[in-house]
Amino acid sequence: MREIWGSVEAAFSLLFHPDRYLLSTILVSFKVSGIALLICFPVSAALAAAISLGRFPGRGAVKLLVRTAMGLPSVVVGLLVLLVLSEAGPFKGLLWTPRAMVISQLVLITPLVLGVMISSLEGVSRRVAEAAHVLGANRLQVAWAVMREARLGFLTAAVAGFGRAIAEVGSVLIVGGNIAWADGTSYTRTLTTAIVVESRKGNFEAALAFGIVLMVLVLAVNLVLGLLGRPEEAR
Amino acid sequence: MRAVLVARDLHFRYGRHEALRGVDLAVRRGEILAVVGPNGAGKTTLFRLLTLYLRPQRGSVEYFFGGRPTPAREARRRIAAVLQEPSLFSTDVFGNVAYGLLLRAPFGERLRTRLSRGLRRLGLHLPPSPIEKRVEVALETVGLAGFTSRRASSLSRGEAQRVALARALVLEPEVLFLDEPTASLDPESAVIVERIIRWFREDGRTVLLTTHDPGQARRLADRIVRLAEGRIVETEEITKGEAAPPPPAPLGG
Repeated sequence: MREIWGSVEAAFSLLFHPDRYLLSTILVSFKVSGIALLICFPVSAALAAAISLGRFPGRGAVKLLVRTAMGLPSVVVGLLVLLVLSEAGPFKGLLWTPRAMVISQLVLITPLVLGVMISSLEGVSRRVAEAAHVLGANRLQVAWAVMREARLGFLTAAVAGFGRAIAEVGSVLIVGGNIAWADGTSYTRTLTTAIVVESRKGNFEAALAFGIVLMVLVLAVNLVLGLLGRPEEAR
Repeated sequence: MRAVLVARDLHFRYGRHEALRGVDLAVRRGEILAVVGPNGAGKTTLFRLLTLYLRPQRGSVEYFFGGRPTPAREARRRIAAVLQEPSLFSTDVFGNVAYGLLLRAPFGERLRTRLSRGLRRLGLHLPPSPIEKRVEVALETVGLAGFTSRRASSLSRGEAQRVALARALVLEPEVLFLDEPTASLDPESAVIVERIIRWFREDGRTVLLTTHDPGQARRLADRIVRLAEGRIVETEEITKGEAAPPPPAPLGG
């Protein structure tokens, strides 16, 4: 118990007086997860609109596939991305770089973000689409009207996607390589992989400190997004 | 007789359920046509086909504005509908009523309206944009002047239905569809809606409405079409005691 309290104290002193190691690790974590989300969000929004509003054969199968992929184990994703990046081809040279991590994060969170978006679009009444249509909206404008009704669900999708990406260990460890330079700057080491390293070395205080930093930062991100997503009545 | 809308041999089925089985209907310019019939007779499906929301599985729907066949894309901009459920967008009343206008407006006007609305929220009042003026007039017409900033979710059922009517009226459509416009409305709102329907026809526009209320159909309509099991079973011309309606005059240009 004393060990935990000591670690908590150490964690907070680290938070207020961050060293280069911590700062660069936070930066890598946020950069990789943030870029993955920025790429994933618009692509998923367009796909979700096409899947839930479009009429094409095999829609049910596509949705089932997306829902299944929502629970992809991250080590499996890491392994698959590792195999693809190891092949000679357009991705040659990306292995063990932050870009490789962005790719594996994308594969990991896109089904989750897409799945939440599809559910929220399907929760919007068909009547909204009809109302937009009979006021003269074309197909794209109808889709936009329905997406606006689903905006809270889209925010949830973003929060869930970012949360999964930043809390994820398995795939970034495999394709990123958990590299930190000798001067203590992180290259592909994230907050989560740092926890793995520090606890393996027996530095439980540092490991716990990284964990607390991670949770505090995720909390901060959620608070900001939560403010954005408050229903307008409450503003 | 000048038909503004001609439907031929409309068929539509949802899975196994045959909602429409061969409806032929010609709607004259400037008439109020009431479609009556029991629940499940196909009234709402007929409206969905006529408003071009659904495509008939057999048969055709054609509009004739200015006496010529009008392509669907253009026709959709000259008609508007009020659904049985208000189905308002979850924004304020202004956003709902301005929706169709903003869709049709050029970029500059859209921007100006959004800017003006945004500044108003901060307490700065620009002179209202043309769209803001038209929205205000439409809201006055339905008896909801001053409601622009109210949230759609805060409205009573009757108010919501009237906002739904305003967002169609504001487009000044040449053909207006109303699906059960006064069902589940308070008497006061119902009176307002009926008055608007008459005023609209006097303006030379065409109104199609469905109703459960035979009294309402007789009060309002020039012609009543009875639908049963997906077919028209009866058409009745209503001759009003008064003289023929005044010649059409354009509404506000």
